[in-house]
This record gives sequence, structure tokens and C-alpha cells, in this order.
Amino acid sequence: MEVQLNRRNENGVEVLDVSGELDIYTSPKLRTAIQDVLAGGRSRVVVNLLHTTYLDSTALSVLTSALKQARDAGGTVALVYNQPQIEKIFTITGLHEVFPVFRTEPEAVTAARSWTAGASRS
Amino acid sequence: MSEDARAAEILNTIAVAASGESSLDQILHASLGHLARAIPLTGGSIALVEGAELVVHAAVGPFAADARGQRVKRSGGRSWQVIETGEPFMSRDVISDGLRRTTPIRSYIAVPLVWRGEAFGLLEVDSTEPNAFTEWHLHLMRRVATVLGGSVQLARRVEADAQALSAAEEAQRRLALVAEASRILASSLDYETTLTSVARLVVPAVADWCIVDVLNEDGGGLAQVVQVHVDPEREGLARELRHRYPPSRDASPPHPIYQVVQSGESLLHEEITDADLSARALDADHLAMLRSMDISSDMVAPLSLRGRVLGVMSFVRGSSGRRFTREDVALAEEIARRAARAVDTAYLYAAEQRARAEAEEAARRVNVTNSLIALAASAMDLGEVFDEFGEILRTLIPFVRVTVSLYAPERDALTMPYFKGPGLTAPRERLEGPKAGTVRGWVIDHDRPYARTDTRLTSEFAEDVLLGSAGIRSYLVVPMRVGGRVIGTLNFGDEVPGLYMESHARLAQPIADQLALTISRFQLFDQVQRRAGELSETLQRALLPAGLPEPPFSALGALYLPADPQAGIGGDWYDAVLLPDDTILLSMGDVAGHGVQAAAAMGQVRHVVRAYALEGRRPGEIVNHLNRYLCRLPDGPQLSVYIATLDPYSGVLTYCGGGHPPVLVLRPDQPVAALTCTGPPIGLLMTMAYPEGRLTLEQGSRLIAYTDGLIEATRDIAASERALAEAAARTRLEPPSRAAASLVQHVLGGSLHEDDVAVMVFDLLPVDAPLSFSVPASPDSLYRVRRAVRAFAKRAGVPAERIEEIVFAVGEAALNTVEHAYRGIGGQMQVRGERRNGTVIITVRDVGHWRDPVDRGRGRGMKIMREFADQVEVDTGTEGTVVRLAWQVLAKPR
Repeated sequence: MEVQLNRRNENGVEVLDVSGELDIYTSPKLRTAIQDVLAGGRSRVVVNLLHTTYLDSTALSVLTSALKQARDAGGTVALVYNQPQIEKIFTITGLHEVFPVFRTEPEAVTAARSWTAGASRS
Repeated sequence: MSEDARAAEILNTIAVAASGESSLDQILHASLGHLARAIPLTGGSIALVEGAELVVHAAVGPFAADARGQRVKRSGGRSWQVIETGEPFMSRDVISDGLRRTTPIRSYIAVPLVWRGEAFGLLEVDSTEPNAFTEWHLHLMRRVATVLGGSVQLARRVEADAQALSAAEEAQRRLALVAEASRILASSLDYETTLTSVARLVVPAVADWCIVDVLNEDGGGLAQVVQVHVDPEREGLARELRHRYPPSRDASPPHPIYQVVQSGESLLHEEITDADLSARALDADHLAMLRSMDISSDMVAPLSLRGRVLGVMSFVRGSSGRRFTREDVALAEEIARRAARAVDTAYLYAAEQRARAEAEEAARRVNVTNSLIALAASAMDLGEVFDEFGEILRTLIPFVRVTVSLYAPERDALTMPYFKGPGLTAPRERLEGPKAGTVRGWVIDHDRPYARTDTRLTSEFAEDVLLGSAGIRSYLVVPMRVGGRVIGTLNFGDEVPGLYMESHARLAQPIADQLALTISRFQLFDQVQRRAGELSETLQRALLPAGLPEPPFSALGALYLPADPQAGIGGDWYDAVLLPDDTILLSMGDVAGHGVQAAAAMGQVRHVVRAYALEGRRPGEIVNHLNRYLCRLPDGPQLSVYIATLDPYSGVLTYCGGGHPPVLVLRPDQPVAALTCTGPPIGLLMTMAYPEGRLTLEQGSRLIAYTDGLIEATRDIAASERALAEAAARTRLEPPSRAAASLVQHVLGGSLHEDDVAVMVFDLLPVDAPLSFSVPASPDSLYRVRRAVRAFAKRAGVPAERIEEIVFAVGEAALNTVEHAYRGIGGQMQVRGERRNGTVIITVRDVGHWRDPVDRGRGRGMKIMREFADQVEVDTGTEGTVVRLAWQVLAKPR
């Protein structure tokens, strides 16, 4: 099983579309992708989880690490999801308050554009 | 009256008297009487010539009594002179005639009785008065002599006729007696009875007492068989006489009956005096008994036939009867001869009967021995037939218990694996233990049978004490030999002492040896089987899959039977692999030939197939690829092969095979069908293109694949195939592993199979079946677990929104297992799911140990589990960890 990652740039915001299932096997791919983005100097990242059908605690770890790194670089990682299960996961882990969470990608991108280096979260 | 008239009157009187009297003596007596009245005589006599004697038949006068019966031998005396000359003689006065005087006789006339010129008698008269007689008296006497002459001759003839008649009658009577005796003797073979009847014929017709003694068949002595006496009281006495004073052969002289046996000649004692009895008697009592038996005359005749004496027949007359004569002996001999024939015939018949009985008994023994040998030879497990064996054995050799003891040389001990009889349940009673000091040990060491007459009389061996106290008094121990070795003993025991003879040992030996053969063959077979089985199994285990995978929504069972050890290790294999996409690969095949080479080739092929499959090649590709590869090998193996993949999610079966028996497919509500793969075994034809088949199976279908060893074992392939199809239908509801075994049992029965037999049974489980699924506990398996759980939840009728909760929770549980259970070492993770009414329960199990959580956000995993499932239980034990998750699902399954 593979997870499909698609990286694009929307008005200076790096968007990663995640299609498929994120588990211990596939999460490393996401981590690598995010690392690539951050290493490229971009710290405004939107992870689109709208087509993610599964997400487990390892994926959460990957996201939280990425968030920390992005913040250190003056940016952040925003998440897009509206699936009830994904929502439940972030809710019960309290991570919905840690990440900027949006229900649609345009919202996320718009918000991300307002982040500048040094700016704190919205 | 004138003298002539007087003379005439006297003569007439005498003539009349002569014709009227019946016997000669009476005639003479009457005649003399009449004469005496006519002549003044003192005395007178009539004597007749009998041979060389003159015998006085009639006399009158004072000396008449003495005179009668007097015999005067032929001499020169006066009387004989008259006979010789035929001239009468008269002396008026003997004194004046100067004749010798010994008596007071003075006057004397003697006239011869003449018949046809021959003097046959003498008529004499005398008187004590001189000149008592005149010429007239002489003349008268001459005329009387003439008259008497005729009468006497007539009387004599009559008497002779009468005697002849009575002799003839006697002869007739004797003939009749002998004829009757013959008839009796011929009427039955029971010579004791018939001889007794003959004796009763003889007594009292011929004798007062009759005894028959018959020689014992072994010639050992005479045994009295018949004792008949005219007087029943004396009969009893006779028996006692015999009992107390049996006739002795060794006496001096030997008893008459032994004399006759030895000489073969009859003995006659016309007259037995008291002196004779005294000579025979051994003591006073004996003499007294003999005397009271009233023995006056006896004869003993031999029962002889063809020169052999079979016995003697004794006839005794008492004092009242007449004595035995030579004629009687002839009769006795005749009867005895017939008796001999009867006894001989009876002996011959008895001997023949005995011979026949012996022959029949010998034949019976042979039959029983053969049955026992056949039974022992045919038995695979002697224990099963031992009871029956014992029952048959009992008709040959008597026993209360029969046992088999075997010698275990490595322990120098005896075991008792087979036994029949009371009191043999405890090992002590079965006499298992060290060989030393036992009679069985003795028999094994000396290779000879041993029989005990009475265990009470000795304690030489351990068994004497043990068996004796169990009531076994006599025993027989026979060595069981095979291949020049004594492997144990066959033991018989009975409550009766002294029961066992050498003949029993001889009868038992061939049976004991056959038992030895059966047991050693069984032992050998057992050993060989075990060793070969071990070898086979070791090798085959090394070459065959260690365990069967547990694919989702499927069940798999397989059975592998190594071939008969004599045939060697075979080249059959079976394999089932769960491919990473949860497709099941089934493969099965049979490398031609036996032995390690075939096994090695088989192992290689199996792995090649796996490798191809893991690369993603489909069955058709694999088979054709393999075929070309094998054909290219010089001296490559040929093998039958069947390869199939089945997707448990779609039910699609893809298969290909060559030279393999048809695979049976059982689809729900359909009869057994067969999927045939055409084509020869692979490795044969390079150009062969094996076609691939494809089929979509419904949930609840079953596949049965097998190697030809299964159907070729019984040599009737068609019958075996039918049996298999039948068995497949019958075992439909049995879980696959059990079904595999049942199928083999149904088809093979008890037959040995020369080829390996492999059977695989694969079930595509029905929709309501629980989930049971094993995957490697590695990161890449989690996707498969989720997929299976999702499919299961759907099949179980869980509402769509709850399905994902289940998946997320189980995902975390599985993740835990992958992260914790195996410290980097691959293992298996087992996921089980079932629906119980409104509850769905899913367990994730591992057999490792959870290490302490490394913080990788583990806490989150637990939290997710608890939030996504209604119940969570984690059981950590030494054998592994089970995470149990449950959801109350209200909707009923579809």
C-alpha cells in the first residue's frame, strides 16, 4: 500500500495533498516530504488530509514533529480535514488545538499567506 | 407134559420174553430167569464177547451180583475153550471129571451163543449138586442158545441202531450248537457279550461251568471275560475263586489255561480226582473252594486262529453228569475256533477304529495348527486377535491361562504383552520383570521347552511360587524362535497338576514359532516405520511449510502422509502462502520418483514457485516458466504440479496445472465438481503451453487438491475417485484440517500407500464466518489488517459510520503489536473478529512480550483505542498480549 503525496505551491504556500492511508509504514514518506519542504526554506505548509482515509498515532507524531520544526523556522503546519474520524482523532488527542485546522484548502491557504516569518500562530 | 412139550414151552416163553424186553441185558436177564425155573440150577450166567474179553451181562444165583459185569480175558480157560471150539461142554460132576475146583460147583453146562457160525457169547449153568443136569438139560440149553442167538443179535442191532441214532442225534445237536454259537458270535463285534451268550448256550448243554479267557491285546496276559455256571451261586464262588487265586503262568506246573495258550493244543481231564484238586490247590482255602465247585471232568480248548492263540475256553462238568470224552473235545475245539474268529474280528475292527480315530485326531490337530498359524500370520496387531487365538488354541492344548512373554535384551527383562486367562491384570500377575531366576529365562537360554508337573512341589523358579499361589499347578513353557533367535516364550498354565506332556510341547512348537515370526515382523515393521517415519518426517518437515497461513475469510487444512517406508521418501509437496496482497497461493505437486533426489528437487521447485508468486507472477506464468526451465535442464525432473491463487476478497480463483489429478470444487448448493487441468507433467515437453483457468468462487465454497498417491493406493483409481467425491460431500461441514484427515481415511481405509499422499482443503468462508487472520507483525501488514477488519465489519452488518471507528481502533491495536511485541524480530500477529448478537469483538494477539513503551506518541494510540471502541481490554501475559476490543452494534447483521 502506498500513500500518494502531491506537493504544490499555492501563492507561496506549500501544499501537500495526502491521498491514502497514513500509518507507520507510510508516514515516513510524509515526514520526508515535509522535511524536503522545510529544508527548502519554506515554512508555511498546508497538509491536505481531505483524501486521507486513515491516520494513526505515528502519523500524528510525524505531524507534530513537523509542526515544531516549522514553528522554529518561523512558519507553521496547517491541516485540512473534515472527515469525522480524522476530526475525532485530533479532538481526542487535543491536537485540534495545537494545529491550525481548516475545513477547506482555500481557507487554509489564505490563512497561511498571512503568516510571515516571526509571526505567531493565528 | 412130555419133555418135548415142556422144552417147547420153555423155549416159547424165552422167545416171547426175548422179544418183549427192550434192552439186551433185560432180555438176557429175563431169559436166564425163565431157564432157571426149568433147570435145577444153582447159578447161571450169560456172557458176551466184547473184544478180547468175555463180559457177564446177566447172572442168577447166590453170586449173581458179583458175577454181573465180570470180565474174563481171553485165555485157555473152560469158558474160552467153548467159545473157541463152538462146542458145548457138560460136566455131570466136576470132581469125577477131574476138573479144577475153585467154587462148590459140582454140575456145569456151558453152551456157546452162535450167530452165523461165530460164537459171540456163552450161556452157563451150574449146580452145587452133582449130576444135577441131564442130556435133556444140555439139549434144552442148546436150543435156548439158538433162540437167544437171534434175539441177542436182534437186540444188539436194535441197540446199535439206537446208539447210532442217538449218536446221530448227538452229532446233529452238536452241529446245531456250533451253528448257533457261530450265529451269536457273528451278530456283534462286542465279543464279551457274544461269548457270554455262547457260554450260556454251552451251559448246561455241554458243561456245567464255562470260562472264557482272552489274551490282552498287548499279549500281556489272560483276562477272564466270561464266567457262566449252571448254578448261579457257584457262579459267584467261581468269580471269587478266580479273584483270590488267579491262574498263574509261572506256577509249576503252569495252570492248565496257560498250558493250552503255550502249546496251542487242547487239554482233556476226563476224570478229576480229589488228589488232582489237591495238587492244583495252593492252600487249604483254595482246596476247599475247588472242592465246593464240584469239578469232576474238564477240558480246555484254545481260541486259535491262523496259528495264533487268542485265548482259551474251559468246560467243566460236575460229578452228576457224565465225563468229557474225546468227542466232546472236538466240539469244544470247534466252538473255541469260532470264538477265536469273533475275537480276532473284534480286535481288527477295534484296531481299525483306533487307527481311524488317530488319523482323524491328527488331521484335526493339523487343521487347528494351520488355523492358528494363519491367524497369527495375518494379524497386524496380535493383541487384537489374541483372544480368538487363545480360544482356538484351547482345542489343541488344554489350559486355564496362556501368555506370551517377550525378552527385552537391553534390560535383560521379560514383558508379557499378550495374555489370556484369569488373574492377569496386575503387572505382578503378568510376571513382568527381570529374566533371572525364571523358567521362561531358562527356556530362552536353553532353547528347549520346559514343563512343570506341580508348582506345589518345588520353588525352583520364580513362576513356581507366583503361579502356585494363583492356583496354577502345572505349566508348559515353549520357546518362540525366529531367525535362529529365541525372542520369548509361549506359556500355558492349568489348575490340574501333571497335565503337560511332551506331545503338548511338540504340538505347540510350530505355533510358538509362527507367533515369533508375526511378532518380530510387527516389531520390525514398527521399528522401520518409526525410523523411516522419523527420517521422512524430519526431511519432509525441512522441505515442507512449517505451518499453514491464516488468510482472511478463509480456512486452510492440509495433510501429508509420507509413503510406506519401504518405498522411500517421495517427492510430493504442498504449499500455501499468503501473499502480501492477501491473495493465497496454493501449490501442490509430485516429483516423479522417490528418494532423496526427488525430495530435493521437490524442495527446490516449491521455493521457485514461491519466489515467482511473490514477484507477482500468476499461476499460468509460473507453470509455463517452470516447465521451460525444467525442460532445459539436462536430466531434469518431471513433476505434476498445480498452482492456484485465490483472492479472498473477490473470490477469484486463478489456476494452472499439469499432470495433476483434478481439483475438487464444492460450491454452495451444488454437487461436487472437478477442475481438470489438461497437459502432461511439466519438465517433459518444452513446447507445451499450459492454459490458465479462472473462476469466481462464492463465499462458502471449498477446494480440495490432492496428489495421485491418494487415489492410486487402492489400485482401483475409479473407485478411489468415487470414494473421494463421496467423502468430499460427506465431510463438507468439517473444518479443513479435520476434513483432510477424514478424506484420507475414507479413501485409503487401512491400505498402505506406496506413494506420498498430500491433501489440501481450502475454504472460502461464508459471509457470516468469524475473521481469523494472521499476518507478519511488521509495518507493512497494518494496511492488510485494516482492510480485513473493514471487510469483516461490513460482512457483519456494522453501520457504515461505525466501521471506520472499528478500523481506527484496531489499527492502533495492531500498531501497538508491531511496535512493541517483536524487538525487531519478525513474528506473527493474529487478528480475530466475531459478532455475537449485537456485539462485535475483535482481538489482536501476538505471542511476543510488550516492552516498556517508548514514547513515540504511544499514549495517543491508547487514547484513540479507548475513544474509538466501546470496550478495550489489554491482557499482557508471558505468552503474549491480547488486545480485545468490543463494540455494541445495535443493527442486526444483513
